[in-house]
Amino acid sequence: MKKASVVFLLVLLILGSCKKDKSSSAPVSKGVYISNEGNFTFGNGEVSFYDPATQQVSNNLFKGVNGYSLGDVAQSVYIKDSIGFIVVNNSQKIEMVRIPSFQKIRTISIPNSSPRYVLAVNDSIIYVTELYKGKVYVINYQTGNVVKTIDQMASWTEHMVQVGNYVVVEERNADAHPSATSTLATINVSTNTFAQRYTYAGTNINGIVKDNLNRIWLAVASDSANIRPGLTCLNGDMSVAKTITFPYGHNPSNLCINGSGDRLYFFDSDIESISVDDTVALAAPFAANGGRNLYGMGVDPVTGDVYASDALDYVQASRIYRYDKNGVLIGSFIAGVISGNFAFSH
Amino acid sequence: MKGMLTYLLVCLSSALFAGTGKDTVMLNEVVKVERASTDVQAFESPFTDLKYKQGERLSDALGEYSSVYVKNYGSGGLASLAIRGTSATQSEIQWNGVKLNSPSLGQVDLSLFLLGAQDELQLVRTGYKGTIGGTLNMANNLIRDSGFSIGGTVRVASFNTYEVAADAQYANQRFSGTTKFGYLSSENDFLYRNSFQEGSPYVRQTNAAVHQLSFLQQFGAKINERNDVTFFLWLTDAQRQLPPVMSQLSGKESQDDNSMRAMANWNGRFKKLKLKFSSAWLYDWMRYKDPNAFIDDIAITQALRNTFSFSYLLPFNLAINSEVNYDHEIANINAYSSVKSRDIVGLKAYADYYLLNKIRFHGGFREDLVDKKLSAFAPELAVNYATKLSGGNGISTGLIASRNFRFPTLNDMYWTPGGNPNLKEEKSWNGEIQAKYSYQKMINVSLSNFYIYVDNWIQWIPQGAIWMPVNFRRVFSRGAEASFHVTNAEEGYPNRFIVHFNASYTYTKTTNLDAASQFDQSKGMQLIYVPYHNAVLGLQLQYRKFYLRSTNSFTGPVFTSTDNTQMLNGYFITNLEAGKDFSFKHTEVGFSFRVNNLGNTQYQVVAQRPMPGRNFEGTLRFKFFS
Repeated sequence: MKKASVVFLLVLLILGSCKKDKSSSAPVSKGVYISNEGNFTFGNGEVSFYDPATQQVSNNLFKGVNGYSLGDVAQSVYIKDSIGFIVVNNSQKIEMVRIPSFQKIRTISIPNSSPRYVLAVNDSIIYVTELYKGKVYVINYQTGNVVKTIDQMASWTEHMVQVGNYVVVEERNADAHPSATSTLATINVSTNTFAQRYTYAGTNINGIVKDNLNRIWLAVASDSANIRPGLTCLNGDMSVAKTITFPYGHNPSNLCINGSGDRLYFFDSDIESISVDDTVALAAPFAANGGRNLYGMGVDPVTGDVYASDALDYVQASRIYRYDKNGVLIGSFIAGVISGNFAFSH
Repeated sequence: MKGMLTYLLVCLSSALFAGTGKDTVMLNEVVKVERASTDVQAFESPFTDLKYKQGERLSDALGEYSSVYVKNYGSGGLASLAIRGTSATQSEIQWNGVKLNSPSLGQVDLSLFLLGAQDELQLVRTGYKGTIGGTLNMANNLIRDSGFSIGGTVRVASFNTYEVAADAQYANQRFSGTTKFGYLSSENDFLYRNSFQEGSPYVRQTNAAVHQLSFLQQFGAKINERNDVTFFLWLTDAQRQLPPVMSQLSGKESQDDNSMRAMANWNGRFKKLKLKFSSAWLYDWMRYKDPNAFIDDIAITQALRNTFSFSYLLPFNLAINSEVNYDHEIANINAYSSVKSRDIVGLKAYADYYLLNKIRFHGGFREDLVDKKLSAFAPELAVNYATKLSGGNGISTGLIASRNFRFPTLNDMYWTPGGNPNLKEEKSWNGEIQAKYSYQKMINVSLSNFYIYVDNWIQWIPQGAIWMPVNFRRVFSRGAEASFHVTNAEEGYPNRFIVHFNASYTYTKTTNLDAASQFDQSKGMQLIYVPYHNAVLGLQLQYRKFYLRSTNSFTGPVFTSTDNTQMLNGYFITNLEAGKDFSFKHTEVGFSFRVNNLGNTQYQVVAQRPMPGRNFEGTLRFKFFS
């Protein structure tokens, strides 16, 4: 009887001390960094690294190298030279790491914020977009200090591209019943000040990229019966160069562009691709959906390989599909929970 | 007996010195377990009764005394009950038999209830009478003795925590009344080890203050020998700051909950016929604010619940009972396109036949009509055998099988965007085998083995850019429960050295049976936040009016991803309490000192929601009676 009780307690002790951590070593080669958002408030945001040469993947990279949990909702990853920026949205911070060791350089904390994406505009300044507060943070990443905030933005700022001396900021409609117009804002990089706002048709802009002619491309969603969704191409002066419209009910998103800036990729149920010279779209998909829950996409600027994530039920590890530039599936691998954003190191 | 005592001491010392502990107890009278349909009780503990826990939150007491799983979002935060792997929406929380589950959310936040407002807690783990999970009923007892009493509890604890509970009871031959009051205030600013910061330093929880009030007024009138009526008014108010999750730098979220509940009951007893009519109005107001996200939302729900029931004892030991109910639910929530309401009409009918006073056959059904949609036909069958053996031993065993269902909540149907008015109700098949043995009130052993198959499980999943609820999958839950209690307490010998020991354990395996796509790894995996193992161990040593008790609870690891690749560690919590009671002619006084989480275990029940480490409390109780 006594022996049984002690065994019982020992079993409970062993069960109670179970650990879950799966550490990973730092990558030593060039490749693909993938931010895995994790679930809101679960604190399971992480970063994966994939080596295209060996097809090896390292998950839980940040904790594996730095010894502590990354945080809540790893929204995006961005690489500037040999520095990686991981935006941890619900932890109100940006972790700066060295590439490729992934060792932490510093933590940039932004209290009471909800940061989304990073764009480096020179060797000391990054811009960071924000979910709630209609602003863009201007941060000196050499010191980790927020230099200023640009407060004239709409309620939700998202992706950014730099064109000359201006940064174009995608502004999202946060309203559940948005209006039929969407906006972009521009920031003067020299002065770090708001420059101008531009209005376009469509209930939301779901991604912006810059092509090889310095034109801006927008993925335009529409809930309105009067406005068709599609892609809008803007000239350097922000005027509309051309629009490629889709049938009603389509919803282009996750707009990406290849390294040479001449081919666009986006989700619209399937993975789609068009040339920047095209005027019509949606012939045959680049890659069929195949019953997947497509969530994030990235295009390798050197090889042209396309990486797309299947978030499955959002509560398990995502599967990443890798295609060559012709849409031929090269392979797939498992990353973390809700893989959403890709950055490439070459 | 000496061997048994050694065993108990080994268990206690192991628990005390294990440091980061493990086990559990299922003590209670705090959590009394109602006789389920099979007449086999779950677990009952001798230790304490509710008077020792007055002023505390229901969620905390359940977690300490019961091996059911309470999903707790941090101290004072949202806490919900999950029984046998089912979801919080699949169990019913009742007040005097009236369902409290929110029409919009489908569940109840157990943190909002301060113990003391009710006299008894009844926990049925068995899915029955149409409920897929279990049932927790908070009951107010009728006052039957004339006289007057007044009592109170004052508790001072770590983190600037103050709890006050007071009650007054008054009754004569015909009328009775009870007034109960509860107050809880806490800064809740405990230190915890933060694994989201480099070096895992200890940090102090912020934005976590809680203020809660509870008031209950009860009136009873005995009209004559056959008829009595009771009226209740129960008000609760909670103002809670919601602390930031562990990886957040700061937060300003808050939530206010106000509830008003009124109930009127009539009971009639006419020879072999018993009638009861109950009408309750439940009003819940909730405001959630997050200044960082510019959210300031108010949600109001109301429910009018009416029940008429009768039971009749026929010849040849055949009893029938039936219940008709009509509910009207209303929800006024910003995320709906308009105010939504629905009507529910239900019928329950059961019969019991007793053979030789040892075997009971039970059968019946439930059928609901929800907004003109007929529910699944929900039959229920049980057989139970109980007998007393020679020498004061008793044994009972039983089988129960039932069909149960749950209709979608108003949020499931009307939330914008995503609400799905075409959802079907969840349906389950429940089965259970139970056995119990007792020896002269000294030893009680109980075992059960359960199976629950749920179809049309409602789950919110992404449909393109929008999340919406669908009848997504099938879930199979099975497991076993065991409890054991031994004591040397005997009536007529209150001054001897008395030992109580009890233990209970629940094993739950709850798996998803369906894959959504080819690479979905969740098929066959344990559902998230369902621990395989829950256990409680309890020991009380008592000499005259002095007592020393240790309660220990173990919750096994839980998965936080559906492919079971991520998990939260399990935890073992030990509490130690010493106290003494005094009895005088018209007065009872007691005081106690208690250490919670003796091993200073750093743990989370829900990811990123830290729980307090070692903390202390002192309690003073008194009662004056005529």
